[in-house]
Amino acid sequence: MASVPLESYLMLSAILFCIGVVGVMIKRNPIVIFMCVELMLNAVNLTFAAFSRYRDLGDASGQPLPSASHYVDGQIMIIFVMAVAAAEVAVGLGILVSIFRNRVSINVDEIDLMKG
Amino acid sequence: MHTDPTFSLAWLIPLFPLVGFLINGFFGAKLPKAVSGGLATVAVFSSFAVAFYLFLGLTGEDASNRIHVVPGLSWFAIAADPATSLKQLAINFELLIDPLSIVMIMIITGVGGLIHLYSTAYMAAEKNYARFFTYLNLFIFFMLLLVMGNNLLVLFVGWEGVGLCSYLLIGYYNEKKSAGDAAKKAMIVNRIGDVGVLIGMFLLFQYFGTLDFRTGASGVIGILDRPDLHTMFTAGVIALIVLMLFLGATGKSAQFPLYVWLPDAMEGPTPVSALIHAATMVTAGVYMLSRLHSLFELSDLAMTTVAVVGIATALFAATMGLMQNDIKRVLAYSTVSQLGYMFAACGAGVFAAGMFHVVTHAFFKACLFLGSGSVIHAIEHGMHHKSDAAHGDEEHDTTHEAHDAIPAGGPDPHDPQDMRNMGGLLSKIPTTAATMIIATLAISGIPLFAGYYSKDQIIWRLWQVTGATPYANWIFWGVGVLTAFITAFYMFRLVVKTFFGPARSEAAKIAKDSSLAMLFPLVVLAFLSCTTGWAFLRYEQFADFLAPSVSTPGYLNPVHDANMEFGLGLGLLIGIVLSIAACIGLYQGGKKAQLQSPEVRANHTILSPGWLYWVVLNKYFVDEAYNFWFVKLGKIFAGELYTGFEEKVIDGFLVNGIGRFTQASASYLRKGQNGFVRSYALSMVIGIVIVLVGCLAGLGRGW
Repeated sequence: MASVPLESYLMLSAILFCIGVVGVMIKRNPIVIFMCVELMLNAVNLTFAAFSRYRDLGDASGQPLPSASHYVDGQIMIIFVMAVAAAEVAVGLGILVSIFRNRVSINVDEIDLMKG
Repeated sequence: MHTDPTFSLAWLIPLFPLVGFLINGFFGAKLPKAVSGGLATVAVFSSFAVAFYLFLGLTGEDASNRIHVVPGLSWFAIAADPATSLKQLAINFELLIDPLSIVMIMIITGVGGLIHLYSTAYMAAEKNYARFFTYLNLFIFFMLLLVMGNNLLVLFVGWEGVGLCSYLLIGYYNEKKSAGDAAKKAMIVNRIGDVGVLIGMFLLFQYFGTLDFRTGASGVIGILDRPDLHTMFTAGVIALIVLMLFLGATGKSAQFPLYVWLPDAMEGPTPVSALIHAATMVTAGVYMLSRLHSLFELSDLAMTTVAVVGIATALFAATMGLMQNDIKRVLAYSTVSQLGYMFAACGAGVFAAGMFHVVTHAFFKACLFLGSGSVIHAIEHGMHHKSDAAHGDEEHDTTHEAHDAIPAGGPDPHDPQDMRNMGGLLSKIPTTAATMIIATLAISGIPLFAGYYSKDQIIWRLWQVTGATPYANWIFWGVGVLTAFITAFYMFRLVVKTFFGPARSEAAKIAKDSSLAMLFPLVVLAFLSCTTGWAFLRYEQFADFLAPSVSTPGYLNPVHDANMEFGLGLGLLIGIVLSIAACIGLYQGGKKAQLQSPEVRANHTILSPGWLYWVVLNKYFVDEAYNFWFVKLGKIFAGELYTGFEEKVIDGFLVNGIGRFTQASASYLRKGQNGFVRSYALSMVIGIVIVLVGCLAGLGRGW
């Protein structure tokens, strides 16, 4: 049944995460940064889903676990992450609108109020 | 050890002066002078009545029953921990009524009461009348606490309390700088001694585990009963303890080298000099030595030190007394000298003789001081009278001026304490003169007067000192005798200069005797000065009564050699009479010179003005030496510390250094705060990577 091994999911997830990290670090447009953050979150979601699924399939030797119920903890976490991410984006975009109104630019390199 | 409910009355003794202190302290300024002064006096006499009742109770008892511990409160207790073998410190606020303390109590309240009565008249013109009596009652309270407490800590509370009252009363004329300086000097010099008492107490607790005087078999007094005494405690520790305590005694009782505060303490009102600086507080050191006699007797080194310091101070102070012109300063040096005798007696092991001299000295020295106060009063009265006549309503400064011992061109004509302004007062103030002459005969050691019996006893006991060197007793006896000669000389010099010869100032010519309230205590004290020792309270009686408190059986084995005692006593007496005769001859003979021009009068001396005269006149430059070695060098040292340590190390390195370090490190760290969001993100990522790598590496090693 499990034709795609767990390792592939994890590799994909790691690649997506790294793309997200690099994007956050190199992009100057906050909208794109947000997208990269979403990418990182979704990479994590992917691992949640993958682990949840593979745990449901059985132990290391492929034997089904004695419990009859399905393991859905990972899926539930995914719902949480999505909800939080949506809220975060809502707040973040609000801040961006506000910054744009004040400075007529949302280039993150020009927002250096924290410079010591 | 005996408990008797009657002796609970002892709590009343310190209570009366305390109540008097509180009433006068809070309401004294609103009360009429007669009420506040009368209240203070009645409080002290009430204490005396209770003390006398207890004294009668004690005399009726056997020697073994004469020690009563009056139970009181538990002051504080630090519980012992058996696991860590910590010692237990339990301090009880108990009173100890035994022959030694009752003698002190009766002196304090009896002589103290008389001095209170005297003060009501002497201080009548003062503004801060109630303040004076407040301090005086507080002093009596603390002094009673000092002698009644059953442990060293209660004694120390009293010890510090009387020091405080002494400070307050010396500085009573607080508008005068010299009085303030003298008060500070007394306080500071006493602090040196008090540190010694504290160290002594710490060591005592460390090694003996108790500060109590009497608690059954243990307690400081009872340590002799301990079988492990000589194995547990080395002689060195005991010597250190008692020498530290003795340092405290030299401070409080004005012995060499800490005597310097007492002559300056004469800045206080005269009744204060009589009460605190002659009769009671300065004998606290002798009391402490007697109280802890069994401890002192354990150390030959300490006993020798006490005797040497005592007898040296006696001689040293007596020579300084020869040259003073201020009537009170003569008496001050005389007090230091007599206290030296008391310590010499303690050092010789005869604490009873020392205490006997405390008693007789309290009578005749209080009489002398009160008499000098009466003289000063009379002269002041004369000066007021004269200046009123001469200048009408013009204000005239007749406050007690600080007197400089060095006669820079003769006496200050406005100084009522300078004997060079007196003379011929015998006919003007006959009662005062008579009482002072009686007290002078007593201090000089003329038979039938109190001082003879105590001083003769001390000097005879000094003859019996067995020292390390074969002729130690010759030295002690010789110095004691020489001091007795000098004492007789300078005391008669005082009498002759004050009461005989011509009046040397206008004020002395119109002086008038004081009021009855001042003369009555003088007469009582003079009566005691010429009856104590033979009419009542013979030395043998006194020593027997005191024996349970101050003598260790078998410590002294005095030689009973009646012929030797008689011979030495007679020699001493002849010498004293000769020195009195010499004094009268010299000063009466110098009468003509004194009447000449002021310059001649100022420079008139009985000795040729050689270097010795100059040195003694300036009190051996001890004050100057202390001033240089301690005050001046101390100031230089403190100044160096300020510029060198305080400013450079504390301020420069520590305080400002921390500030500079913070600034410098911040200037580097702030470069990291560049404001670029992406660089913050980068540092976050780097951090996460490091943590992850660390965790993984840990996992790999099986952490």
